[in-house]
Formats: sequence, structure tokens, C-alpha cells
Amino acid sequence: MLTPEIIGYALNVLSATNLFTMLIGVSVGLVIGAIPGLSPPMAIALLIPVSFGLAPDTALILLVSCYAAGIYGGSFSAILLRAPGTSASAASVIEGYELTKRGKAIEAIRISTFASVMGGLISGLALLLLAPPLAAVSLWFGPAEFFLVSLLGLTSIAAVTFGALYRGLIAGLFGLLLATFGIDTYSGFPRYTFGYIGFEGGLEILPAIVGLFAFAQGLELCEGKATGNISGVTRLSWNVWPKLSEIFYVRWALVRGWVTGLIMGIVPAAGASVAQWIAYAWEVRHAKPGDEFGKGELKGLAATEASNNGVTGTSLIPMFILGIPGGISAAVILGALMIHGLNPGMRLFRNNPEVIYTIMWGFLIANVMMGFVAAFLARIMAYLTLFPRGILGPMILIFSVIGTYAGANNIHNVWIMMMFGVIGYYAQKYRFSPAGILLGLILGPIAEDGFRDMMVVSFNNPIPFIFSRPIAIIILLMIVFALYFAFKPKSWEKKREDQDIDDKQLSTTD
Amino acid sequence: MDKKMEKKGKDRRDFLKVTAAASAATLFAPAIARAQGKFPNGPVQLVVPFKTGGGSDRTFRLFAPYLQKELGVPVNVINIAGGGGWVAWQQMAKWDPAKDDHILGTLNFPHMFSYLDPRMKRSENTESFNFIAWHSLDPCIWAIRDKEDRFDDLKSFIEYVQKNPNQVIMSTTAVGSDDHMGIAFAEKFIDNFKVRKVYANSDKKKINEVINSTTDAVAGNVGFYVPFMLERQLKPICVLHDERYEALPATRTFEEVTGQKNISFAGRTIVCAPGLGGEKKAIFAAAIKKAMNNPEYLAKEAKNKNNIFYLEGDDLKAKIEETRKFVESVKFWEQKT
Repeated sequence: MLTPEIIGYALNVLSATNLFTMLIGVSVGLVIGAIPGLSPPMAIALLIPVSFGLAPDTALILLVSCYAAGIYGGSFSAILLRAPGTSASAASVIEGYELTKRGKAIEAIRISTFASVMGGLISGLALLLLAPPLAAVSLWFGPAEFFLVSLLGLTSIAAVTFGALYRGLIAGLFGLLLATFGIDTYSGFPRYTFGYIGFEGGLEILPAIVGLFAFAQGLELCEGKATGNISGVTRLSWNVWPKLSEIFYVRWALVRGWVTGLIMGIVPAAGASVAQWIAYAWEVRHAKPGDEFGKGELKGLAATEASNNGVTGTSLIPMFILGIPGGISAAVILGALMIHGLNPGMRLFRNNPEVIYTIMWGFLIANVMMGFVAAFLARIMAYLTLFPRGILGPMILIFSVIGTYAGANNIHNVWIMMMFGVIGYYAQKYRFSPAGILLGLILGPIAEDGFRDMMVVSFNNPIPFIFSRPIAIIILLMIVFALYFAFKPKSWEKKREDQDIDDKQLSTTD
Repeated sequence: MDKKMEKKGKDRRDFLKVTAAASAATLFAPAIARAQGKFPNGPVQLVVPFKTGGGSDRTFRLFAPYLQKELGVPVNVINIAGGGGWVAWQQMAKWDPAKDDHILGTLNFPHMFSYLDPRMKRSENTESFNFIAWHSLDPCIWAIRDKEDRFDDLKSFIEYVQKNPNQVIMSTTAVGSDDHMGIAFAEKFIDNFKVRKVYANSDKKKINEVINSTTDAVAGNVGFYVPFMLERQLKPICVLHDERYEALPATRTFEEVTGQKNISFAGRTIVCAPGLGGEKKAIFAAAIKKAMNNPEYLAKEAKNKNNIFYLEGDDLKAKIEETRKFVESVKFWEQKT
């Protein structure tokens, strides 16, 4: 409940030190998030030593601000360059970059900023008001639920195939196969490593994303003429504030995105990288006549951007209340919390309410600040879309290599990134959805672990086990609905197809 | 010009002078130090074989400023992640003592003994590394839900498992980890002790599983688990250590209850280039020892729930040897998982 006492803690945030620290956190997060290969957890980890000298609440404000902004920062490069900076922004590539190609970069950025800031705020409010009950919900998820959530995620492949369904499914299966590379946790056996040490730890998501999208995009820009730019315009709109009409147009997409984000934040192990795809697939299923999914549909972008920041606040809930971080960024923040002498759990709320609530308010206010800093950065960064292709292409290739190497100091990751780059380039060319490959790679380990764990705990009898768990049944129903709507054409789509056939017949009879 | 302006100008000149001097000092300090034959004469890299933000990364990032103070040169933590640590370890085994004398690495036990698993086909072994010191040791524990009513200590837990073989489920880290080895040891040396295992790559997953009743018990390391015991979510039933652990004095050791010496832990050591010896290694060793005794550092690690455990020379060798024997006795790669 929002007691006057809790509201009072908001004033703690407004000290000059806290606001300045927040500005640093937001700026670092936005910039590191925007560079492909460098991730929010890395940005947070690098800020931890800086936070040692600060008071615990100020230190944590620095880190949570960086987290919120880091998740958003990745969207800049995803939208403007088709080079997502983080795994949380990969889905924004699809509609975001198409909008950029149509000269609508600023329009895409402004709706993305609005969706993200509001997503962060709603998620932050959930964190502030509903943390204890939502933490209890996160405990309802076990192996069966993880397995089914990953299947639900895999149904999103149907949404990213844009007419090439079978090729999309092949891409998804290829991603699932790649996800089995590396040392198997259940036997310690090195699977598909071919004696190469770079494969032993499995294929990491970040080099895969940088390769599949950024590097592949760099390669694509390097073919053809060096003149001309990706946006096809010479001037960009200067209005970084979203119009009411735009918000009204995407209103339900935003709501669906926020809801997906809030829920997926609480599901351990899923997080923003899964939420955005589920939100996007949901949007595609709700397509109306005239919507242009796959060609720069604002509603698709609004949904992915609303969902990935909708995750940020709720994903901190299991960490604060149970000490169990929901994702990698939350795990890094948990480490910092402990170094500052704050042990997570309900005791934290009882013993140090002033610290914990100040951090939560800090997270909320950081989201607002992020909106302003992002609006300022948007104008500068959008200029990139006016660069000649001959300069932009090589620049993206170079940044992909540097970012990937800097992310792990590991040359093998650079080779793996380039391998994915070549795969991504040809996949895009021959319509084997790169997003499908990525989905397989992200969801493969969650599905495999969930399935194997479920077999152990159900004593090799998974079906009755699934049907004994309410949440599992709900997710199962969602999968059934998702598949039904994915394969059944909508009535207006059918009408349009019939019309097309009639037109063709007419033209042949003519 | 009025006095105020004059003062402002002077201040600015002073500032520029100081800045220029500082920049020159930064630029030329290594060269000057080298000319004077001082060691180390430039920044030292401390290689952590895992990603930023993990347990090893956290502890060595805490440690770096204190080591820096002792060595008198900057100490930078570098993460070389991949292959479960082996990407970095293979590099450490190849460091050239002539060129790579300003670089230290960290190596984890019993983790690195995964090379004993013939399936991994590794060419490196403990002889490939130049150990300076043992840095920290986080003993393994087994814990159950605080509200568990079928068993409440190790004795009743083992009896329950023996009566219901392959019915009790334990959460543990992947095959070959310290947590898994503790369970594998029990399965090999305690009659009729057979459990089902759910494997994870993170403590968060394991704790989630045991708290929400997916599994019955969890094998982990003390450091991360103490807060959950204080919150009365988990209850420790034994510690896999040679004596009772300071933070959990009421918890008995595995050996106390069963008579079997089941000792497993997450240990971290610091190494330098193979072949680097004499004065250089001695300088590193002295600085590491001093930094590890810094009360301010120890206080930070206490908050971080990391158990600092210093060993050097023969004691260090003996601990590594003891760990190798333990892993060889378990031979986890021959067990059914």
C-alpha cells in the first residue's frame, strides 16, 4: 500500500547527489546499451566499484538507473541501424528498422521512448506497491512452467516468418540445434564442440544477436552502391515528443506490451529477451486490415518496446523479496546489494525501509529522466541514418567486432559472432527468418532444462504432472490459442485472399 | 584588471599546470619506473576467467584496489570468459614469463580438476600453472526447507534416502561442479544413498526449486545461502568441510555424522606466468598476502559473504593435492547421473 511514509521516501531521491548519480547511471546505461555486444549486466558490473564510495541507497540508484536505461539503450541501434545493442531489443529490429528505412526514424524513436518510459514507470509502480504478493507468484514457476513458457515463446516464430512459414520453422529448428552446443549440465559431456574451446560454454546469445543482425546488416550495406543512405531521406523530423494521435493509434499494443512485460518480469529465467517476442507475436495475431506488419508497423514496435521495459521493475521483485534474481542484471544488482551490507528478503523491508523504498522511487524517477536523456540523444543518434551506406556499413562491422571482443575479452566470441553474421546475411536474403534462429537459440536451453528437470521431478511421468499444476495448464491453453490463431487465417485475410484469387482469375479470363 | 579576475586567471594557470604535470606523470611514470628497475613498473592485469558480475568477478574487483595499494601500480580486472573458465586458463598456461610478467590470473578449484575427466581431452594440468596463493574458500553445504517435516538433520536425511532410494530429489550445480561432487561422493561411499538430481547453472535456480518444493534438498556454497537461513527459508543439515563453519556453528560436518571425509568447496587461487620466479613472484606474493590481510578489505568480503582463506607454499600445494585426490576418489564421470 502507498502509505504517506512510503511517499515520503520519494523526497530522499530528490537530493542533488542522488539526481546526479542517476544521470550518470542513465547516461552510461543508454550508451553501453546502444553499443552492440556490450550488455546492461556488464554496464552495471562496471559501475559497482564506482558505487563503493557512495551511500547504499545512492549506490543502488546508480545501478537500477543504469539497468533501466541499458535495456532501453539497445533499442536505439536496433531501430536506427538494425543492430540491436542488447538481447532485450532484438525484436524491435523488425518494425523499427523498417520504419527507419521509410525515413521515419524519429517517429519510431519517439514512440519507442514513450512505450519504454511508461513501461518502466508501470513496472516500477508494481515493484513499489505489489512486491510481496508478486514475489510469491514467482515461486509458482517450476520446471513444467519453464518448459511450457519456452514453448509459448517458440510459437512466436510463426509471427516472424511473414508468409514464409516453413522456412521460418526451419530457422527455428536450426536455432534449437545450435542451442545444444556446449558442455551438457546433466552429464558433463561436451556436445558438438568439435574439439573447439569456443563452443564449450555453449553459443552465447549476445554474439549471436550481434552477428545475426548487426554484422549481417553491415555486410548487406557493403553490397551495392556506397552512396545513398538507409533512410532514403535527407532530412529527419525534429519532433522527438510523440503525438497524441500516434499514442492513440498504438494504445492497445502498448497495453498488451506492458502486461506481457509485467508478467514475464516475474517469471524467473524469461525476462525481456523472451517478453518482447511474445508481445510481438500477440500483436501480429491482432492484426487488422491495413496493418503493415513486417514493413514498419508502429503497433509492432510499440508492443516490443513496451514489453522489454515493462520487465525491468517486476524482474527486481524476486531479487528484493526472495533474494532470487530474475535475470542476469538483477543478479549483478543483488551482488552489489550484498557488498553494501543489505541482505535481500523481507528483513530488508523491515530493517531498512528508508533504503529500499528510496531505491524503488529512484528507479521510477530514473525512468522519467531516461525519457529526457533519450530524447536528447535521439536527435544525435538519428543522424547515423543519414550517413552514406559506404560509411555506415564498415562502421557497423567494426563496432560489431570491437563490441563483441570488449564484452568477453574472448576472440572465440568474435569468430562465433562472424559465423552468425554470415548465417544471418544469407538467412535474411533467402527469407529463413534470422529472428527465428535467435528465438530457437534463446529458448532452447530454457526448454531443454525445463523438460529434463520436469522428467526428474515427475519420475518420468510428465503429463499428469503438468495437469496437476494450475499455472502450467494456463500456459498450455495459451499455447493452444497461439497455435490456433497462428495457423487459422483471419476472416478479413481470407476475404482478401479470395479477392486476390478472383482478381487473378478475372485477369486470366480477360 | 581587477583582483578577482587576476585571481581567477592565476587559479586557471595553476589548474593547467597541475593537470599538465599529472598527465605527464601518468604518461611517463611507467617509463621512469622501468628506468629505475622497479617492479612492477606498469599496470598489472588480474584475469578473471568468468563474466563480469559473477561471484569470482565480484570478489576480485573488491580485491583489486587493495592489491593496487600494495603494488603501487594500477591493478585492472580483465574478464576472459568462456569454456567454463578454460578459455582463460589455457592462456594462463601459455603465458611467457619474460613478456607476461605484469599479469596475474585466478583459477578455481575443484572446478579446474574437470581436466581429470577423460572426455574433456585436456592437455593442461596443475603442473601447467604457477600458483602464488590460495585466496578464498567457500565450503559446500546441504540445506532443506525450513518447514521440512520428513527430516531435520543429516542423519535423518540419510536414513530417509536409504529407506526411499531414488525418491528424494536434490538441486545441484552441473555435473563436475563442487556441489555435484559432494553428492557423488555420498552416493559412492554411503550405502544405499541414491538421490535424483536436478542440475542448474545458478544458485538462483537451485534455491527457487527447493523453496517452492520442486526438489527436497539443495547442495550449494555457504556464502550465498546464509541469508536464506537467516530469513528462515532454508535450514542447513551439514557442511562439507573439515571442521564446523564459523558462521554456522550448530551445523555438523558430513564427517561428524557419517565418518566419511566428504570435503567439497568453491576455492579460488591466484597464479602468475609459468616459470616466473625469483624476485618478481616474491613481490607479487608479498603484496597479495598484505592486501588479503587489510582489515578494510576483510570487512568488505565479510559483507560479500566470501570466506577469505590464505595459503601459500607447501600448504597451498598440499591443499591442491588433497583436492585432486578427492576428485579422483569420486570419479564423477564414471557415475550414472
